[in-house]
Amino acid sequence: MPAGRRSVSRIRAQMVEERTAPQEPEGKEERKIKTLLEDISLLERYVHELSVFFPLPLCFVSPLGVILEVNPAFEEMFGFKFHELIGEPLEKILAKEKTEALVQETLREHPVHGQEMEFRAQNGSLIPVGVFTKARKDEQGQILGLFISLLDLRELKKTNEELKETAQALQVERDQLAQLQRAVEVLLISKERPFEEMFDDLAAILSAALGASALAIWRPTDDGIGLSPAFNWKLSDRYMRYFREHPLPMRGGTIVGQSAHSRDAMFTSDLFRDIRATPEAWASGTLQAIQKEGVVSLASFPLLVNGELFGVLNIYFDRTHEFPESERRVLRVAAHTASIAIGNAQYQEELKNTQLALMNMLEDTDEALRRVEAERNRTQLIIAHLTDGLVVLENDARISLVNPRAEDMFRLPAKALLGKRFSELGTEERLRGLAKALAAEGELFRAEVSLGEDVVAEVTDAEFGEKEGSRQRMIILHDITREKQVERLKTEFVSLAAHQLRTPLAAIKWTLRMLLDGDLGDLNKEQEEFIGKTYRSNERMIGLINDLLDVTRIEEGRYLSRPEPGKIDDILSGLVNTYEEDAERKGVTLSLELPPEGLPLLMIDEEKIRLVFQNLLENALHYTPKGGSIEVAVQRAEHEIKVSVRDSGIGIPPGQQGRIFQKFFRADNAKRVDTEGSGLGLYVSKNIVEAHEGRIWFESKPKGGTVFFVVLPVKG
Amino acid sequence: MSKRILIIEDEQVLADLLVKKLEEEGYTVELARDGAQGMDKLREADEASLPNLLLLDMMLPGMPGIEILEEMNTRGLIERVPVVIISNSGQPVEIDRARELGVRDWLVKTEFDPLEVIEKVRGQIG
Repeated sequence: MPAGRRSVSRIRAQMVEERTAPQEPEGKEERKIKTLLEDISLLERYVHELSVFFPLPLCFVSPLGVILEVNPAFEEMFGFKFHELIGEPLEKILAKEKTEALVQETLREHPVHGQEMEFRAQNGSLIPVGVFTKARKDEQGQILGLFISLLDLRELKKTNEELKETAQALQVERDQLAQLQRAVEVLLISKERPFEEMFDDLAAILSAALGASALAIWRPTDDGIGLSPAFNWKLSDRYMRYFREHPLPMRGGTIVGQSAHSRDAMFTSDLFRDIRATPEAWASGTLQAIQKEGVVSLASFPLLVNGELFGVLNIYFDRTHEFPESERRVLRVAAHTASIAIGNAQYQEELKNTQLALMNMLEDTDEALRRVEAERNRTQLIIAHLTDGLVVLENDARISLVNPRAEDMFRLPAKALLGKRFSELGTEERLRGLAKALAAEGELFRAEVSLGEDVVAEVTDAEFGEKEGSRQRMIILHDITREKQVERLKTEFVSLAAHQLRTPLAAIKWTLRMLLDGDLGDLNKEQEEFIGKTYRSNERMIGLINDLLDVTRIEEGRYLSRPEPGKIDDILSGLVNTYEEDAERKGVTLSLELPPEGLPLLMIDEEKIRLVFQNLLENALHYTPKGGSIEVAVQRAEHEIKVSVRDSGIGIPPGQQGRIFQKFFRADNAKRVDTEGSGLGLYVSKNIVEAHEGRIWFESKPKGGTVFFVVLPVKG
Repeated sequence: MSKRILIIEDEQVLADLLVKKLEEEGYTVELARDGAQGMDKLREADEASLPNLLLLDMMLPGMPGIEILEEMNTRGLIERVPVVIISNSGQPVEIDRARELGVRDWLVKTEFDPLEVIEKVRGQIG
């Protein structure tokens, strides 16, 4: 029964007593009372309905703390029935001291307003409530009791508690994030460190933050179709070895393969219950290997470096592990950071390589410097040990370098020479000749200079650069004293040989000549014949000796005397005249054709040029049979003259044409015609022509005759 | 008075042939068989006894032809006594040097015979 109704009914009962006591007939007074009673009844209903409706627990307590009224919300809150509360002390539901304090305070005009207290429910549980009190007095101010209204704090408390828990969870997440952030920082800061180290740090942090049991980075295999673990943290060697030998395919079917294939993160809270744990995975032994490792849960993140798949980061758990969205987010960040760190590491690697390359370049430069230094030292050594004297002139022809050999040759120490000009050194006896040569000659020259009595040097003066507006020259002094001696000895030897050989030949020649001339008495026919033959043999011998002497001189490079202006037409005419008789005797025609406009003078050693054409004519005569012809012709071009000696003779065999100008060579068919002949004529001729800067060659057919051409330059 | 010719030549056959030939031609011929001896004859000779021509070999025992020429040059004899060289050598260097010293002609023995030598002599002194 509702409390409000009860108390109002009591008032009504009292009023009924008062009405019924005088027992007066129903009149005006009675109607008044009746109206009043009706009003009260209405009020009673109002209060009752209000208290029943009122959702907050409400009770009325006597000044002594006895519960007089409770509303249904109060009953409901504590689980007591109405009768279990009415008339009961408030202590039944509130601790004694609290009850006393509450009642006393309220009665002393200090109502409680929202104080938090705990009331004991019927089941013994304490219910947190906010308490509001109000003292109730009558018209005289007598205290009738106090109202107690309660605000149920349980929901609030629960929300509070939840909020607290949420806050704690957030704190944990924040801590994780902070740790991961640290991991990120570790990865980002550790540019200088090897990737393996950074990976270990990352693993340690993820393990601490999430409780991961192991970490690995799987990398694409060389063939690009599989994946195998490359870096690992706390995985067994056996596991690593197994998957290195059995790479996982880069496609669906395994978490790591799918992650690599889709380039997306993959999570599984329990590998072995995962629908992706295919029968093939069991069949291939993959899952067994994982099971052996004690791995239960796994997250895989593709590591993309510059858009390329570097590998997959696997985070292993040795128990089932749900991956809440917050953690997934964090892990994605960690994986992304790892990618960046790998990118960085690669970049660092590249940087390091670049640095290394730079270092190498530096080293190369150093090396080059060292080489230059060594080269300089070497050059200095070479200059110092040069067997030629070397003098460098710089700064207006002053001596800036003298090597030891030059000091020897000058018989002067370097200090007496450095900084001086040769023109100032002309007073030195030994240097007089050199000073004169250097003063007289042009920019570059080569000359033989005597240094004192005993040294002859071939001096070369060459410009090699310019320094501070002044020419740099080097004077090289090549000691040719010995060559000079040898040359003299050779000359002496040749003279001696010539003398020794020629003297008896000359004696024989003269004697035979006088015999033939009848100076030593008359000879009979037979004697004359033999002596004539002997004379001709001797002449051949003399010719041979002369040829040999010529060859010796050619080889010594001093065969030609100074060329002088000469007339080639005169030489040719003279020779043709000389040989005309021989030709006639042999039955061969000999002709000479000169250009009608005449020929210019040529700078020639006339005697030697005569020898050339003499050789050619003699050969032509010798090897042209009876009835043949020999034609000598001269053609004039702008800068040269071409002489041809054409015969209709035996020709030169094609296989031997290449050797015809060789020393001592005679063609086979020539030897058949005549066993005599030194094989030196054409060799000597070629040397003479070339010494005149001319050319000699031939055209020949076996039995078809030969033409020799000689071209001589026309100079200035 | 016939012209006097001094021959300085160590090769006996040649020397004898030359002497014989030149005497046949009417010259007065004196022969020295080595260089030193020949030079002595030149040194000792007074204006009257100086030869009208010297036929000189270059390679000689005692004193080489070139030294004889040099001394004649120093003594001023070479202007007064024409010299014709009869040598076995035909080296341009030697020939050039001899010409510098005032030699009139250079004959390579193997290239000439006695008749030609006599022609040369005639050419020089008649």
